[in-house]
Amino acid sequence: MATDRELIERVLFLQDRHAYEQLVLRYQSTVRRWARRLCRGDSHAADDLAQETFIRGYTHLASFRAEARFSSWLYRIAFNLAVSEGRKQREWLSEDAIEEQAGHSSEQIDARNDLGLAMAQLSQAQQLTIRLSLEEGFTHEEIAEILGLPLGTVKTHINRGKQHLQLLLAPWRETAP
Amino acid sequence: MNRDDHDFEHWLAQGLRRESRELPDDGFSAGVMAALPESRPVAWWRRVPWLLLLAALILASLLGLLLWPLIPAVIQWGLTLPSLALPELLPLAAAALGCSIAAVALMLWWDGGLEF
Repeated sequence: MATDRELIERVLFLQDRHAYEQLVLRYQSTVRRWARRLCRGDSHAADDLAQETFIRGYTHLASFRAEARFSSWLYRIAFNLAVSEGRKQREWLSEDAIEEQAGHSSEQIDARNDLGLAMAQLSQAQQLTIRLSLEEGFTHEEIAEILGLPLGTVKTHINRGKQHLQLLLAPWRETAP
Repeated sequence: MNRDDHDFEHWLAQGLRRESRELPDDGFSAGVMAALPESRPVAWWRRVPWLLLLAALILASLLGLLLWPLIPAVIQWGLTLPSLALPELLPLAAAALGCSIAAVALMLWWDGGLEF
């Protein structure tokens, strides 16, 4: 199977659109999942955002730096597009931008064994950084690049988010297999 | 990071990965490919010749603006030279024109805009 780098070179130097299609197929799921998080679950808006991300990726492919991961570059484009849609990045990643979760107490989280619900108790910045780190496996440096944040801020969001989750999920974790 | 924190992080990562599911393509990729613009991405270094040409044109224009009072005198001087009679200039002009066309064609080919 061709590597990302080989496919990108084929698009750039041989104008091979089929090579780009392979990249889209390879990353459609992860980019769409990321877009859904950025669109807060609205799958139609998320697919539009993901499509725009891949189009922007194609037209700006020449500016992709080979030392970065292609997936992190796509994530960055999607995030920038989502931010440019409305709010400024500072507002987007504000500590205060906690989702409205009326009625979901810690007890309910324990009862439902729902990690997603616990995650929803965190601020937007904490959710995004923790998911990028633990779910997608990006390094802190890559997350800083994707979200356009200083490295120290990323580490702070992740640590605070994990502490919060540890508190929320402690009872459930003790009983979990 | 102590052992408890490390265990929690490991457990959390497992839980998050378990919750995230692979999304089926369902025609998404085909939609993206259909929406891609016709213009293809171009590597930055392929633009270098055009940037050089543009820089040369700007420089020539600036020099022309600065030196334009001298141009009639230079032409007049050139015409007084016996060796620069018109018939003898024709091969030189044709060669210059040919070189210019070849240079532009070469740049177009370099830029991928001309198929041979």
